[in-house]
Amino acid sequence: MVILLLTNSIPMATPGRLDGPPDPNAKIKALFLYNFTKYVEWPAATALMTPSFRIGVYGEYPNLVKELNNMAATKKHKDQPFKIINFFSIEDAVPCHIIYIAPEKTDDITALKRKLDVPILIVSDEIGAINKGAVINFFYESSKQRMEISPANAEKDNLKVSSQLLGVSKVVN
Amino acid sequence: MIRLLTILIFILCSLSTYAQNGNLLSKSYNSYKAGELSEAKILIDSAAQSDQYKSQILTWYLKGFIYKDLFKKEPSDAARSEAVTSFAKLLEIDSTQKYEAESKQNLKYLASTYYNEAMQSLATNPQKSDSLFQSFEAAMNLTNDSTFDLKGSRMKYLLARGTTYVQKYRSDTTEVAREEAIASFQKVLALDSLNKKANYNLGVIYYNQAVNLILNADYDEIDILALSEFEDKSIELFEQSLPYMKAAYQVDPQDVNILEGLAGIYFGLKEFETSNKYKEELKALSE
Repeated sequence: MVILLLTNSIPMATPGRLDGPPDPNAKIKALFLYNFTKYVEWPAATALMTPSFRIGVYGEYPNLVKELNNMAATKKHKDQPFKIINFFSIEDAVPCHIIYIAPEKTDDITALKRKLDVPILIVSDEIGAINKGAVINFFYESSKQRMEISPANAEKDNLKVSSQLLGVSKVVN
Repeated sequence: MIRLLTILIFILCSLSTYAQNGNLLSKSYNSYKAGELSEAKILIDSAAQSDQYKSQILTWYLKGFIYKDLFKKEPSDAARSEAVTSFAKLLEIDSTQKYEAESKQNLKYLASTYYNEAMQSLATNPQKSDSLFQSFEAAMNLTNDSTFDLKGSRMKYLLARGTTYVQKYRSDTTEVAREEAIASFQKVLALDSLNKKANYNLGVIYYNQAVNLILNADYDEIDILALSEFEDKSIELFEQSLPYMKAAYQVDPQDVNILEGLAGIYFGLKEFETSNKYKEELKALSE
């Protein structure tokens, strides 16, 4: 009798994240981040003018970076290719359209925004991050990935969040 | 064989009817003894159809042996089936029970060939395997052997069958293969609800389906407005997986694969504390 093995091994990890495959939660977050590119508008006048549409990941989340790179290999934002940038310190941060902030970097949101000084959709993953300047914050509810959005923070960052996105989110200020 | 010959020689010689030239049984026996199985077969088939011989025990006894040896010489379903039928008929009409033990021994041999063939055919022709396994069970039932673990054989077969379909599902991802795998393991659980392998495998099937559903999702097909519904589907699969993996854990809490499975399922359900509990158990095992 051949015993089946899981499709991939499941290594030790910090809560909510896995160090290696498979990480379905990372894919779900990547799906959300990709969708944000469709439901958020960056101001034309002050938008980041780069050939690619940049999604940054600040902190350690290799599975999310991997999923985003998979997405970037086949998808585009309008005519722009995606570029995924992973950095681990404020000093290394580069301007991006979206930056996902890993939980352990939540306290750096203000410093990050100050350094980059362009309209960035800051997406965090820690309770209380909206109060630290994030526009969208992920949280889990009933085994599902959910998000809270702060229209006030979005406005401060010159971002326009669609009513459809607000409709599927918990709206906070 | 030697025993058969001894018995037959004694019986055939002692009965004047059989000693006469032209007697179908004698002729068939003589052909059989000479190794002329094809001729023996023709003669015994004629005997079995005639009113004179068809109610005689020796007819079915000899026919069983002839067909068994035909099957051994050149395996065919028809010869084996005829051998089983002959021994079954013998058991039915042998009120003296004189040949019961020997007939049952032969039936067990024939049953074992069905079982082995059923297992061997799983990878190439699972439908045929099912038919062969049914023949195995039917032959074993004829032996009425209470010491034989027929249930155990059935579980082994169903576990192997389930595994075969899982492997098939992995290569061609047909829904039918997945359903057949699930049905096989469910049948094992109907016989033994705490069967570790069946529970584990069912847990893995649903877990893998949930993970693959998410990992294979196309970015443009899953709009954010439909994400919640999409997640509901994966959660439902993780939840379907959980009771099976927990049952397997109940049987063997130190199985690395089961601990990985539980950690993965709870991770998928975003119950990170519980997921980490199993990861800790896994870590403790390796220390």
